[in-house]
Formats: sequence, C-alpha cells, structure tokens
Amino acid sequence: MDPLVRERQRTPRVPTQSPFAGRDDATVVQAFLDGDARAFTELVLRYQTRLLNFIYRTIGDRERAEDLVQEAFVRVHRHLHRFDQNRKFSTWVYTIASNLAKNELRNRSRNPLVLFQAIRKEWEPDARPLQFEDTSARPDDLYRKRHLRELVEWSVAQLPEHHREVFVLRELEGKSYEEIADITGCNLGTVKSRLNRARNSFAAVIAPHLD
Amino acid sequence: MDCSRFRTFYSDFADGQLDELAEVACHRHLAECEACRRLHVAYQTGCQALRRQPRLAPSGDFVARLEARLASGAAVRAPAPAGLRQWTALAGAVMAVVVITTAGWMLLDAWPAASAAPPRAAADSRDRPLVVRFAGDTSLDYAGPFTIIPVSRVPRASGSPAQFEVTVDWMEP
Repeated sequence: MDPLVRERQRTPRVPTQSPFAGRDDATVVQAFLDGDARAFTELVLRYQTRLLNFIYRTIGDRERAEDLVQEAFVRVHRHLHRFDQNRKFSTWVYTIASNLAKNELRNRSRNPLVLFQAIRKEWEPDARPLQFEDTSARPDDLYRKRHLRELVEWSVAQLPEHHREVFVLRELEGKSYEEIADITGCNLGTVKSRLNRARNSFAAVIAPHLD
Repeated sequence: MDCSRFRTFYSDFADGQLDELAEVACHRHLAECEACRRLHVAYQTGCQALRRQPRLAPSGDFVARLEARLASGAAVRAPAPAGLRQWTALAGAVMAVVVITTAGWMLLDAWPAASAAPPRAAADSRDRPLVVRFAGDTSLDYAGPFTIIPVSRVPRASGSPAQFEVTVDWMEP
C-alpha cells in the first residue's frame, strides 16, 4: 500500500472550521472592519452561491453572472467601511447585486450588437426552450420532469425584468416583502403588485403544459 | 368572490397573508372555479420544480481570483460581453480622446496668451501620435453608439496602475 495512503488512513482528518462559524453577519463585518482579512473571505463564502443564482436568474447568463458577483464583492470590499451597520448586510449585498444586474440588462438593451448576440444565444439549438410537443406520445415520468424543469426555467426568463427580480427574490431567495422593497428600492405596495403579476404570469405560462 | 378578485388577492393568498375571512373566500372560490384552481396548481407545481433545480455553484477558483483582484488593486471594471470587449474599449477610448482633445483646445483658446502652451510644445505634440493613458479608475461619460462599462472613481492617492493606453493620430482643432 502506498505509504501516503497508509498515513492518511491512520491520521484522522480534523475538519478545519471557519473561525466565524456560527457568527452572524454583523459580527463578521465588524471583524473585517477591525482588520481581520479572513472575515471578508467568510462573507464571500456565505454569499457567493446565493448571489450567483440570484444574478443568473435575473440576467440569464451564467458566465456573466459570475463576473458580476466578483464585481459585487469588489464593491463590498471597497465600501464596507461606509456600510450602515444598522442595516442587514444581506440586504445591502443583494442591493449591490441587484443594481449590477439591472445595469447589465440596461446596457444590453442599449447596445444592438449585444442584444443581437443575446438573442442569437437564446436561439442556439441547445439553448432553445423545449418544443412543446404532444407529451401524451411519451408519458414517462422522466420525460415530464425534464420538460417541467426546462419549462419553469423558460417561464421565469419570460417574465418582465422588474417582475422577474421580485419573483426570484421571493420564491428562490426567500426574501421578505420588506427586504425586497429595500433591495429593489421600491415601496411595499409596488413589490406586492409586481409579485402578484409575476405569480399570475408564471402560472398562466405553465398551466397549459401541465394539462 | 370572482376570478378577477381572486387573482388580485392571489399573492397574499399564496403567502398565507390574508385574514381568515378572505382566506376562506379564496378557498371557496378555488373549490368552485376550475380555471383558477388550474392556475393555482400550476403555480405550486412550477415553484416546487423551480426550487428543486440544482443551485449553480461558483467556479472552483472564484475566491482565489477575487482575492488576486483585490490584492492587485484592480479597478472596478466588469469585463464587457465577449465579442464586444475590444471594440467597445477602442471606440470608447477614441471618443474620449476626441472629447478631451477638443476640450483642451477650447481651454487653450480661452486662456490668456501668456498661459498658452509654447508653439514648440504644440509642434512637438503634432510630430508624434497622441498617447492617452487611462488611470486605474476613470469615469468616462459621453453619449454615443457604444456603451462603456462604467468604472468608479478612486482617490488619486491610491496610485492604481493604468488600465490601458491608446495611440491615435493628433486631431486638428
């Protein structure tokens, strides 16, 4: 047996725990402001996946979403000393991410070349939404589940941007109405109205394909 | 309760935020109205499917890249979409040079003669192509057919390195 393997088997691996495990965001933020650089890495690890999924659902481009998450953390790093610690860090970082996503969508709509590229990408064969064929010809569950997955992805992408954002924040990120209002800069009534329309639209798109 | 009213209340109903009377009315409507029941089932099924989707994970080197970027003091500049990056940067730089150069000439004209740059220097400048360097974080603001990815301003003391430089021919005023 390889001596290294033997050694690994003999020595139990002690998982290294983050020094900030179990601490709330406010404590970690304060640690960073007090000079502990590891605290910033902790914040990144806590939020990178959430922000990636949020931005991806909003703009529909995985690679670009990761660029924007990087951008968000650079801005957090730069401006954390000015962050109002009476606010929730979560709301603040999502606000930054939301603004970056909105800028991205706005820039795309202004630039015909980028818009054309976005449209072309959507209509590449492997990116095309599923063809809504007659599912009764292939009734197996696996087929239905795969198509349902593609269908819900496509349905979310069809929502108008401002509806999609509140829908994703509520349904996938689990944010409260108040948090969504804070993140999007809208009042509570607008958030509720947009969410209601988004939910109705989402259901209306999906319903015919579940029958 | 009719369908229109039900759909107005739908979001609060889905979140369990209606008072008891309104919630009972919604449940009664669902029991009576096939169309709204169908939508309600579609919404629930769709959201369940959405939440079951595997979450995207960042690339394995995400944190390392971020730390490298922070360490190098890189500017807050998100890369433009592929295919457009070079043209956007070049076009933006050229436009900015035109703006800066024109503004510079206008200023020189407006200054008293004693403050004008000596002809020798102007002649020297014309002998060589103009090289423009953009410092670490520079905001460019103009109206044009191309979009520049905005970057935020940093204090000059940060001494951030140049982003890029563009060589263009000297422009006539």
